[in-house]
Amino acid sequence: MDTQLYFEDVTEGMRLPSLEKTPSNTLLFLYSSITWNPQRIHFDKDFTQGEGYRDIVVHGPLRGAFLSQLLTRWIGEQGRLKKLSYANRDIAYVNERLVCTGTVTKKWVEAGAGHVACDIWVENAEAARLTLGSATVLLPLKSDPDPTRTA
Amino acid sequence: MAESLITDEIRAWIGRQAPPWTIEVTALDVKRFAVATDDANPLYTDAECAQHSRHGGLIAPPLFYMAPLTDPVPEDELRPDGLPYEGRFPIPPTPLPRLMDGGTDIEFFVPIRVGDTLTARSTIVDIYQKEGRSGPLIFVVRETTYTNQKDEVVVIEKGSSILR
Repeated sequence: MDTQLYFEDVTEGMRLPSLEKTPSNTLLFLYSSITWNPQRIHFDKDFTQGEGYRDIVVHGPLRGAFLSQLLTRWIGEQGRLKKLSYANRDIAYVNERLVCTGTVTKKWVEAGAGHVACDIWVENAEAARLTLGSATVLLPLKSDPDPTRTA
Repeated sequence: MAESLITDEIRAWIGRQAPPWTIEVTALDVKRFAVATDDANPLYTDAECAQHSRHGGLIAPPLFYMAPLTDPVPEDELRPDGLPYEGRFPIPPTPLPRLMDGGTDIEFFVPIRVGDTLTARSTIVDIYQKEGRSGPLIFVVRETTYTNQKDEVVVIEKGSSILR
């Protein structure tokens, strides 16, 4: 397990450690399967191009899952994801290198727990932001002997 | 302001509820979801590691509740694009033909644990119109609450669909 991130480690404006994903056709197939999603733009290239898309389309909620992963990886086991919002602004295509990242916008202590708000996004190789979002996470305080407060 | 496309009939859809659905959270499905989202966090798949975590057992990724996104229906009940004619989230009939995802706001309360049975209840909470660059847009906002077998609220998701 990674070293735990604490509220005191975070500063407003700091960048989140990026998470890179290049979803393959196989990964999209697996995601369609587990979500029981028969929509053809996620597996049928001929159909998808007939609909006017360049290639197979990455599922919107999969990009949401990547963003949730960006956060859970960063906040570690003692951190807690409290809120996640995202909206897909543009299409992501299969085999496209996607970078999930974000910045800390605000931090505060409430009810004894460290709260951190972030802007998060998914960008492609051209640095176009395909998905925009925001999140609030709870982090343990170094000064607090009771780590269950973020539970 | 252009004329409103939201008739009384469409407005009457506010408050409409989808039939509730349940999600059995099995270790196998959680592992499948973790693999399908390329998530190597051992709390989702390594029982031994999860046992010694503060959760005391396997949990699911936060967005696991999205796994049974589509109700399995026979192939002849699918549209040409592969989607079911009737999704989990009913959309009122409007003069606007195209449906887009308008974003998702999620609040997490307690973790989803392997062994949970989640019940999802979804209600249309708002319908409104905006003027887009290419014409009118109708937003349909639904709120879905997922509770576990202890009646604890696990997740509340607010999702918008945009008709254009």
